Amino acid sequence: MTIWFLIAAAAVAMGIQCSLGPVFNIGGAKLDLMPAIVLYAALTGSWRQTMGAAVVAAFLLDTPSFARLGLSVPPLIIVGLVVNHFQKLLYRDHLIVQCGFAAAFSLAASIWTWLTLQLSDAPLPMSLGVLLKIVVIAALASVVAPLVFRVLDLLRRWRRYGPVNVETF
Amino acid sequence: MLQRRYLAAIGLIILSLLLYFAVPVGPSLKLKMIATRVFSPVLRLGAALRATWDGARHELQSRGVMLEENRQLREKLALQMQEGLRAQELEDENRRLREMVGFRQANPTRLCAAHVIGRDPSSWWKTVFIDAGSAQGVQPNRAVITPAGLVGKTISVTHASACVLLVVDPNCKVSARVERTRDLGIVEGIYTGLGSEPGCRIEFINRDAKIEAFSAVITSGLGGVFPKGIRIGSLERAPASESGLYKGARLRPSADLERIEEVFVILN
Repeated sequence: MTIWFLIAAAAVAMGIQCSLGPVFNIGGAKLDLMPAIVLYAALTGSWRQTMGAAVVAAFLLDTPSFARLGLSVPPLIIVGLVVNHFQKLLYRDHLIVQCGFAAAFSLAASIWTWLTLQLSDAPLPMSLGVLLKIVVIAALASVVAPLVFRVLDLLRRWRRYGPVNVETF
Repeated sequence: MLQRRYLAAIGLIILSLLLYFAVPVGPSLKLKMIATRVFSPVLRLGAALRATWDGARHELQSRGVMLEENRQLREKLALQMQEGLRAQELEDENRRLREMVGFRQANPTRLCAAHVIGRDPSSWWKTVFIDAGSAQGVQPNRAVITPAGLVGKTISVTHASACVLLVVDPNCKVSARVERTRDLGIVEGIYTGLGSEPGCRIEFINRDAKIEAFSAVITSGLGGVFPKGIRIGSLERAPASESGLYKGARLRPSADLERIEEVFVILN
Protein backbone atom coordinates (compact mmCIF):
# COMPACT_ATOMS: atom_id res chain seq x y z
CA MET A 1 0.00 0.00 0.00
CA THR A 2 1.34 3.44 -0.91
CA ILE A 3 0.47 6.82 0.53
CA TRP A 4 -0.92 7.79 -2.92
CA PHE A 5 -3.48 5.03 -2.65
CA LEU A 6 -4.67 6.46 0.68
CA ILE A 7 -4.70 10.05 -0.66
CA ALA A 8 -6.77 8.98 -3.68
CA ALA A 9 -9.16 7.06 -1.41
CA ALA A 10 -9.54 10.10 0.88
CA ALA A 11 -10.17 12.44 -2.09
CA VAL A 12 -12.84 10.15 -3.56
CA ALA A 13 -14.44 9.76 -0.11
CA MET A 14 -14.57 13.52 0.29
CA GLY A 15 -16.12 13.91 -3.17
CA ILE A 16 -18.82 11.41 -2.18
CA GLN A 17 -19.44 13.19 1.12
CA CYS A 18 -19.76 16.62 -0.47
CA SER A 19 -21.92 15.53 -3.40
CA LEU A 20 -24.20 13.14 -1.58
CA GLY A 21 -24.40 15.08 1.70
CA PRO A 22 -28.20 15.30 1.75
CA VAL A 23 -28.49 11.55 1.05
CA PHE A 24 -26.19 10.39 3.88
CA ASN A 25 -27.72 12.63 6.50
CA ILE A 26 -29.71 11.57 9.55
CA GLY A 27 -31.34 14.54 11.25
CA GLY A 28 -28.37 16.81 10.50
CA ALA A 29 -25.70 14.22 11.41
CA LYS A 30 -23.71 13.57 8.24
CA LEU A 31 -21.85 10.45 7.25
CA ASP A 32 -18.08 10.85 7.69
CA LEU A 33 -15.89 8.44 5.71
CA MET A 34 -12.55 9.89 6.87
CA PRO A 35 -12.36 8.01 10.22
CA ALA A 36 -12.65 4.70 8.33
CA ILE A 37 -9.88 5.67 5.89
CA VAL A 38 -7.44 6.80 8.61
CA LEU A 39 -8.30 3.65 10.60
CA TYR A 40 -7.57 1.55 7.51
CA ALA A 41 -4.14 3.20 7.26
CA ALA A 42 -3.50 2.75 10.99
CA LEU A 43 -4.42 -0.95 10.99
CA THR A 44 -2.76 -1.79 7.67
CA GLY A 45 0.19 0.54 7.04
CA SER A 46 3.22 2.03 8.76
CA TRP A 47 3.17 4.98 11.16
CA ARG A 48 4.32 7.26 8.33
CA GLN A 49 1.39 6.17 6.18
CA THR A 50 -0.96 6.62 9.15
CA MET A 51 0.22 10.15 9.81
CA GLY A 52 0.18 11.00 6.09
CA ALA A 53 -3.37 9.69 5.75
CA ALA A 54 -4.48 11.54 8.92
CA VAL A 55 -3.05 14.88 7.72
CA VAL A 56 -4.45 14.53 4.18
CA ALA A 57 -7.87 13.38 5.45
CA ALA A 58 -7.99 16.26 7.94
CA PHE A 59 -7.08 18.85 5.30
CA LEU A 60 -9.61 17.38 2.87
CA LEU A 61 -12.23 17.55 5.61
CA ASP A 62 -11.44 21.19 6.45
CA THR A 63 -11.09 22.47 2.87
CA PRO A 64 -14.72 22.38 1.72
CA SER A 65 -15.93 23.25 5.20
CA PHE A 66 -16.25 26.57 7.04
CA ALA A 67 -13.71 25.24 9.56
CA ARG A 68 -10.25 26.81 9.39
CA LEU A 69 -7.49 24.62 7.97
CA GLY A 70 -5.81 22.43 10.57
CA LEU A 71 -8.82 21.92 12.82
CA SER A 72 -9.22 18.18 12.24
CA VAL A 73 -5.51 17.26 12.27
CA PRO A 74 -4.85 16.66 16.03
CA PRO A 75 -7.64 14.11 16.79
CA LEU A 76 -7.00 12.07 13.64
CA ILE A 77 -3.20 11.95 14.25
CA ILE A 78 -3.49 11.08 17.96
CA VAL A 79 -6.06 8.28 17.57
CA GLY A 80 -4.30 7.08 14.40
CA LEU A 81 -0.96 6.75 16.18
CA VAL A 82 -2.49 4.99 19.20
CA VAL A 83 -4.20 2.45 16.93
CA ASN A 84 -1.04 2.03 14.83
CA HIS A 85 1.02 1.45 18.01
CA PHE A 86 -1.18 -1.53 18.91
CA GLN A 87 -1.54 -2.69 15.30
CA LYS A 88 0.00 -6.11 15.90
CA LEU A 89 -2.30 -6.78 18.87
CA LEU A 90 -5.46 -5.97 16.93
CA TYR A 91 -7.18 -8.28 14.49
CA ARG A 92 -7.92 -5.85 11.65
CA ASP A 93 -10.52 -8.03 9.92
CA HIS A 94 -12.69 -8.26 13.01
CA LEU A 95 -15.93 -6.27 12.70
CA ILE A 96 -15.82 -5.05 16.31
CA VAL A 97 -12.31 -3.67 15.87
CA GLN A 98 -13.29 -1.84 12.68
CA CYS A 99 -16.57 -0.45 14.05
CA GLY A 100 -15.23 0.38 17.51
CA PHE A 101 -12.14 2.26 16.41
CA ALA A 102 -13.99 4.12 13.62
CA ALA A 103 -16.43 5.32 16.29
CA ALA A 104 -13.46 6.33 18.49
CA PHE A 105 -11.97 8.37 15.62
CA SER A 106 -15.28 10.06 14.95
CA LEU A 107 -15.93 10.81 18.65
CA ALA A 108 -12.43 12.29 19.03
CA ALA A 109 -12.95 14.53 15.97
CA SER A 110 -16.42 15.69 17.11
CA ILE A 111 -15.32 16.40 20.69
CA TRP A 112 -12.23 18.29 19.47
CA THR A 113 -14.43 20.35 17.11
CA TRP A 114 -16.81 21.13 19.98
CA LEU A 115 -13.92 22.19 22.22
CA THR A 116 -12.43 24.51 19.58
CA LEU A 117 -15.88 25.97 18.88
CA GLN A 118 -16.02 27.09 22.52
CA LEU A 119 -13.11 29.43 21.74
CA SER A 120 -14.75 30.85 18.60
CA ASP A 121 -17.07 33.85 18.16
CA ALA A 122 -20.07 31.53 17.88
CA PRO A 123 -19.69 28.92 20.66
CA LEU A 124 -21.81 25.79 20.50
CA PRO A 125 -23.67 25.15 23.78
CA MET A 126 -23.80 21.51 24.83
CA SER A 127 -27.35 20.14 24.82
CA LEU A 128 -29.01 16.76 24.53
CA GLY A 129 -29.53 17.37 20.81
CA VAL A 130 -25.82 18.13 20.27
CA LEU A 131 -24.80 15.10 22.35
CA LEU A 132 -27.12 12.86 20.33
CA LYS A 133 -25.74 14.33 17.12
CA ILE A 134 -22.17 13.43 18.17
CA VAL A 135 -23.29 9.90 19.03
CA VAL A 136 -25.12 9.44 15.71
CA ILE A 137 -22.12 10.77 13.72
CA ALA A 138 -19.93 8.21 15.52
CA ALA A 139 -22.50 5.45 14.92
CA LEU A 140 -22.67 6.27 11.19
CA ALA A 141 -18.85 6.27 10.96
CA SER A 142 -18.67 2.88 12.69
CA VAL A 143 -21.38 1.34 10.49
CA VAL A 144 -19.64 2.38 7.28
CA ALA A 145 -16.10 1.33 8.38
CA PRO A 146 -16.41 -2.39 7.46
CA LEU A 147 -17.69 -1.41 4.01
CA VAL A 148 -14.75 0.97 3.47
CA PHE A 149 -12.35 -1.80 4.57
CA ARG A 150 -13.89 -4.26 2.07
CA VAL A 151 -13.72 -1.75 -0.80
CA LEU A 152 -10.12 -0.69 -0.06
CA ASP A 153 -9.01 -4.34 0.38
CA LEU A 154 -10.64 -5.18 -2.94
CA LEU A 155 -8.91 -2.28 -4.69
CA ARG A 156 -5.53 -3.24 -3.22
CA ARG A 157 -5.94 -6.85 -4.32
CA TRP A 158 -7.00 -5.71 -7.79
CA ARG A 159 -3.97 -3.38 -8.07
CA ARG A 160 -1.55 -6.15 -7.03
CA TYR A 161 -3.05 -8.79 -9.31
CA GLY A 162 -0.52 -10.95 -11.06
CA PRO A 163 0.25 -14.56 -11.94
CA VAL A 164 0.57 -16.73 -8.85
CA ASN A 165 3.44 -19.17 -8.42
CA VAL A 166 2.15 -22.39 -6.89
CA GLU A 167 4.77 -24.48 -5.15
CA THR A 168 4.02 -28.12 -4.65
CA PHE A 169 5.49 -30.20 -1.86
CA MET B 1 12.20 4.67 16.23
CA LEU B 2 9.45 5.08 18.76
CA GLN B 3 10.76 8.52 19.63
CA ARG B 4 10.89 9.66 15.99
CA ARG B 5 7.30 8.59 15.52
CA TYR B 6 6.07 10.62 18.49
CA LEU B 7 8.28 13.60 17.73
CA ALA B 8 6.84 13.73 14.20
CA ALA B 9 3.30 13.50 15.58
CA ILE B 10 3.90 16.25 18.14
CA GLY B 11 5.48 18.44 15.43
CA LEU B 12 2.50 17.95 13.11
CA ILE B 13 0.01 18.66 15.89
CA ILE B 14 1.84 21.86 16.87
CA LEU B 15 1.95 22.94 13.21
CA SER B 16 -1.77 22.32 12.78
CA LEU B 17 -2.57 24.20 15.99
CA LEU B 18 -0.45 27.13 14.79
CA LEU B 19 -2.22 27.02 11.43
CA TYR B 20 -5.59 27.01 13.20
CA PHE B 21 -5.00 29.55 15.96
CA ALA B 22 -2.05 31.73 14.93
CA VAL B 23 -2.37 32.24 11.17
CA PRO B 24 -4.65 35.25 10.45
CA VAL B 25 -7.94 34.71 8.61
CA GLY B 26 -6.66 36.21 5.31
CA PRO B 27 -3.68 33.86 4.66
CA SER B 28 -5.67 30.91 6.04
CA LEU B 29 -8.46 31.65 3.54
CA LYS B 30 -5.89 31.91 0.72
CA LEU B 31 -4.48 28.49 1.63
CA LYS B 32 -8.00 27.15 1.64
CA MET B 33 -8.70 28.62 -1.79
CA ILE B 34 -5.60 26.89 -3.19
CA ALA B 35 -6.75 23.60 -1.65
CA THR B 36 -10.28 24.17 -3.01
CA ARG B 37 -8.88 24.75 -6.51
CA VAL B 38 -7.11 21.39 -6.33
CA PHE B 39 -10.17 19.71 -4.92
CA SER B 40 -12.87 21.24 -7.18
CA PRO B 41 -12.56 18.62 -10.01
CA VAL B 42 -13.57 15.94 -7.48
CA LEU B 43 -16.57 18.05 -6.46
CA ARG B 44 -17.55 18.57 -10.11
CA LEU B 45 -17.28 14.86 -10.80
CA GLY B 46 -19.46 14.09 -7.79
CA ALA B 47 -22.03 16.69 -8.89
CA ALA B 48 -22.06 15.25 -12.43
CA LEU B 49 -22.60 11.72 -11.07
CA ARG B 50 -25.42 12.94 -8.89
CA ALA B 51 -27.05 14.80 -11.81
CA THR B 52 -26.84 11.61 -13.92
CA TRP B 53 -28.41 9.60 -11.10
CA ASP B 54 -31.21 12.17 -10.62
CA GLY B 55 -31.78 12.26 -14.39
CA ALA B 56 -32.02 8.47 -14.62
CA ARG B 57 -34.43 8.38 -11.69
CA HIS B 58 -36.56 11.08 -13.33
CA GLU B 59 -36.63 9.11 -16.60
CA LEU B 60 -38.00 6.11 -14.75
CA GLN B 61 -41.00 8.00 -13.34
CA SER B 62 -44.34 6.61 -14.38
CA ARG B 63 -46.39 8.28 -17.13
CA GLY B 64 -49.16 9.13 -14.66
CA VAL B 65 -46.78 11.00 -12.38
CA MET B 66 -45.33 12.89 -15.36
CA LEU B 67 -48.80 13.90 -16.62
CA GLU B 68 -49.84 15.09 -13.17
CA GLU B 69 -46.61 17.05 -12.79
CA ASN B 70 -47.12 18.54 -16.26
CA ARG B 71 -50.64 19.67 -15.33
CA GLN B 72 -49.44 21.25 -12.10
CA LEU B 73 -46.60 23.03 -13.91
CA ARG B 74 -48.98 24.40 -16.55
CA GLU B 75 -51.26 25.79 -13.82
CA LYS B 76 -48.24 27.29 -12.06
CA LEU B 77 -47.00 28.82 -15.31
CA ALA B 78 -50.39 30.44 -16.00
CA LEU B 79 -50.40 31.93 -12.49
CA GLN B 80 -46.80 33.10 -12.85
CA MET B 81 -47.61 34.77 -16.17
CA GLN B 82 -50.47 36.66 -14.56
CA GLU B 83 -48.18 37.66 -11.69
CA GLY B 84 -45.51 38.72 -14.18
CA LEU B 85 -47.93 40.98 -16.05
CA ARG B 86 -49.06 42.53 -12.79
CA ALA B 87 -45.46 43.04 -11.69
CA GLN B 88 -44.66 44.64 -15.05
CA GLU B 89 -47.55 47.05 -14.63
CA LEU B 90 -46.43 47.93 -11.12
CA GLU B 91 -42.86 48.40 -12.28
CA ASP B 92 -43.99 50.76 -15.04
CA GLU B 93 -46.12 52.69 -12.58
CA ASN B 94 -43.20 52.80 -10.10
CA ARG B 95 -40.85 54.09 -12.81
CA ARG B 96 -43.31 56.80 -13.85
CA LEU B 97 -43.85 57.90 -10.24
CA ARG B 98 -40.08 57.92 -9.57
CA GLU B 99 -39.57 60.07 -12.64
CA MET B 100 -42.30 62.41 -11.43
CA VAL B 101 -40.68 62.91 -8.02
CA GLY B 102 -37.15 62.94 -9.46
CA PHE B 103 -35.75 59.82 -7.68
CA ARG B 104 -32.41 58.54 -8.90
CA GLN B 105 -32.95 55.28 -10.78
CA ALA B 106 -31.32 52.37 -8.97
CA ASN B 107 -28.77 50.31 -10.89
CA PRO B 108 -30.36 47.17 -12.36
CA THR B 109 -29.27 44.09 -10.42
CA ARG B 110 -26.77 41.89 -12.24
CA LEU B 111 -27.21 38.23 -11.42
CA CYS B 112 -25.07 35.19 -12.14
CA ALA B 113 -26.80 31.80 -12.15
CA ALA B 114 -24.94 28.87 -10.60
CA HIS B 115 -25.47 25.23 -9.69
CA VAL B 116 -24.79 23.83 -6.24
CA ILE B 117 -22.00 21.28 -6.74
CA GLY B 118 -21.19 20.33 -3.18
CA ARG B 119 -22.07 20.73 0.47
CA ASP B 120 -20.12 21.08 3.66
CA PRO B 121 -19.02 17.54 4.64
CA SER B 122 -19.03 18.49 8.31
CA SER B 123 -22.14 18.24 10.45
CA TRP B 124 -21.39 21.50 12.27
CA TRP B 125 -21.19 24.20 9.62
CA LYS B 126 -23.55 25.11 6.80
CA THR B 127 -21.88 25.95 3.50
CA VAL B 128 -22.41 24.97 -0.14
CA PHE B 129 -20.14 25.09 -3.18
CA ILE B 130 -21.35 26.63 -6.45
CA ASP B 131 -19.92 26.32 -9.94
CA ALA B 132 -19.44 30.06 -10.50
CA GLY B 133 -16.26 31.86 -9.56
CA SER B 134 -14.13 34.87 -10.39
CA ALA B 135 -14.32 33.96 -14.11
CA GLN B 136 -18.05 34.75 -13.95
CA GLY B 137 -17.49 37.95 -11.93
CA VAL B 138 -18.23 36.48 -8.50
CA GLN B 139 -16.31 38.04 -5.61
CA PRO B 140 -16.23 37.35 -1.86
CA ASN B 141 -19.03 38.87 0.23
CA ARG B 142 -21.68 38.82 -2.48
CA ALA B 143 -25.29 37.97 -1.66
CA VAL B 144 -26.60 34.64 -2.95
CA ILE B 145 -30.34 34.25 -3.50
CA THR B 146 -33.03 32.00 -4.97
CA PRO B 147 -36.44 33.20 -6.17
CA ALA B 148 -37.76 32.17 -2.73
CA GLY B 149 -35.34 34.30 -0.74
CA LEU B 150 -31.87 34.79 0.71
CA VAL B 151 -29.44 31.85 0.68
CA GLY B 152 -26.28 33.40 2.12
CA LYS B 153 -23.08 35.09 1.01
CA THR B 154 -19.93 34.05 -0.81
CA ILE B 155 -16.90 33.69 1.47
CA SER B 156 -14.11 32.29 -0.70
CA VAL B 157 -13.93 32.40 -4.46
CA THR B 158 -11.69 30.53 -6.89
CA HIS B 159 -11.54 30.84 -10.68
CA ALA B 160 -14.49 28.52 -11.32
CA SER B 161 -16.15 27.90 -7.95
CA ALA B 162 -17.18 29.70 -4.78
CA CYS B 163 -18.03 28.72 -1.24
CA VAL B 164 -21.33 30.12 0.07
CA LEU B 165 -21.94 30.56 3.80
CA LEU B 166 -25.63 29.84 4.34
CA VAL B 167 -27.83 32.17 6.33
CA VAL B 168 -28.50 29.33 8.84
CA ASP B 169 -24.80 29.12 9.80
CA PRO B 170 -24.01 30.76 13.16
CA ASN B 171 -21.14 32.66 11.53
CA CYS B 172 -23.49 34.43 9.09
CA LYS B 173 -24.99 37.68 10.37
CA VAL B 174 -27.47 39.73 8.33
CA SER B 175 -28.88 43.15 9.09
CA ALA B 176 -32.65 42.67 8.76
CA ARG B 177 -35.97 44.43 9.05
CA VAL B 178 -39.46 43.16 9.86
CA GLU B 179 -41.32 43.89 6.63
CA ARG B 180 -44.58 45.19 8.08
CA THR B 181 -43.42 47.14 11.14
CA ARG B 182 -39.98 48.15 9.71
CA ASP B 183 -38.25 47.24 13.01
CA LEU B 184 -34.54 46.48 12.65
CA GLY B 185 -32.73 43.41 13.94
CA ILE B 186 -29.83 41.06 13.26
CA VAL B 187 -30.45 37.62 11.76
CA GLU B 188 -27.94 34.92 12.68
CA GLY B 189 -27.87 31.17 12.18
CA ILE B 190 -28.12 28.75 15.08
CA TYR B 191 -26.42 25.44 15.75
CA THR B 192 -28.87 22.61 15.73
CA GLY B 193 -28.88 19.31 17.54
CA LEU B 194 -30.00 15.99 16.15
CA GLY B 195 -33.31 16.08 14.31
CA SER B 196 -33.94 19.82 14.48
CA GLU B 197 -34.37 21.79 11.26
CA PRO B 198 -31.57 24.24 10.40
CA GLY B 199 -32.80 27.69 11.23
CA CYS B 200 -31.87 31.16 12.33
CA ARG B 201 -32.91 33.77 14.84
CA ILE B 202 -33.60 37.46 14.61
CA GLU B 203 -32.10 39.28 17.58
CA PHE B 204 -31.83 42.85 18.86
CA ILE B 205 -35.39 43.91 17.97
CA ASN B 206 -36.57 46.90 19.95
CA ARG B 207 -38.39 45.60 23.05
CA ASP B 208 -41.33 47.98 22.44
CA ALA B 209 -41.91 46.69 18.90
CA LYS B 210 -45.32 45.13 18.27
CA ILE B 211 -44.59 42.22 15.96
CA GLU B 212 -46.89 39.31 15.25
CA ALA B 213 -46.00 35.68 14.56
CA PHE B 214 -45.34 34.71 10.92
CA SER B 215 -44.27 38.27 10.03
CA ALA B 216 -41.95 38.40 7.03
CA VAL B 217 -38.33 39.45 7.60
CA ILE B 218 -36.30 41.09 4.82
CA THR B 219 -32.75 42.38 4.46
CA SER B 220 -32.38 45.99 5.57
CA GLY B 221 -29.62 46.94 3.14
CA LEU B 222 -27.44 48.12 6.04
CA GLY B 223 -24.03 46.53 6.35
CA GLY B 224 -23.12 46.68 2.68
CA VAL B 225 -23.24 42.98 1.77
CA PHE B 226 -26.92 42.20 1.27
CA PRO B 227 -29.06 44.50 -0.89
CA LYS B 228 -32.25 45.87 0.62
CA GLY B 229 -35.55 44.02 0.41
CA ILE B 230 -34.51 40.38 -0.08
CA ARG B 231 -36.84 38.09 1.82
CA ILE B 232 -35.03 36.09 4.52
CA GLY B 233 -37.89 34.21 6.11
CA SER B 234 -40.84 34.47 8.46
CA LEU B 235 -41.04 34.46 12.25
CA GLU B 236 -42.13 31.18 13.81
CA ARG B 237 -43.72 33.02 16.75
CA ALA B 238 -44.04 36.55 18.07
CA PRO B 239 -40.68 37.86 19.37
CA ALA B 240 -40.15 37.65 23.11
CA SER B 241 -37.74 39.50 25.35
CA GLU B 242 -35.39 37.11 27.18
CA SER B 243 -32.95 39.66 28.55
CA GLY B 244 -35.41 42.50 29.02
CA LEU B 245 -33.40 44.71 26.69
CA TYR B 246 -34.24 43.38 23.25
CA LYS B 247 -36.63 40.94 21.66
CA GLY B 248 -35.72 37.91 19.57
CA ALA B 249 -37.48 35.06 17.78
CA ARG B 250 -36.71 32.02 15.68
CA LEU B 251 -37.03 32.46 11.94
CA ARG B 252 -37.94 29.95 9.26
CA PRO B 253 -35.86 30.67 6.12
CA SER B 254 -37.88 31.27 2.93
CA ALA B 255 -35.44 29.37 0.70
CA ASP B 256 -35.32 25.60 1.16
CA LEU B 257 -31.63 25.47 2.06
CA GLU B 258 -31.52 21.68 2.38
CA ARG B 259 -32.63 21.14 -1.21
CA ILE B 260 -31.29 24.12 -3.18
CA GLU B 261 -29.83 23.15 -6.54
CA GLU B 262 -29.65 26.44 -8.43
CA VAL B 263 -28.87 29.86 -7.02
CA PHE B 264 -28.16 33.41 -8.21
CA VAL B 265 -25.20 35.50 -7.08
CA ILE B 266 -25.82 39.25 -6.99
CA LEU B 267 -22.77 40.68 -8.73
CA ASN B 268 -23.24 44.42 -8.08
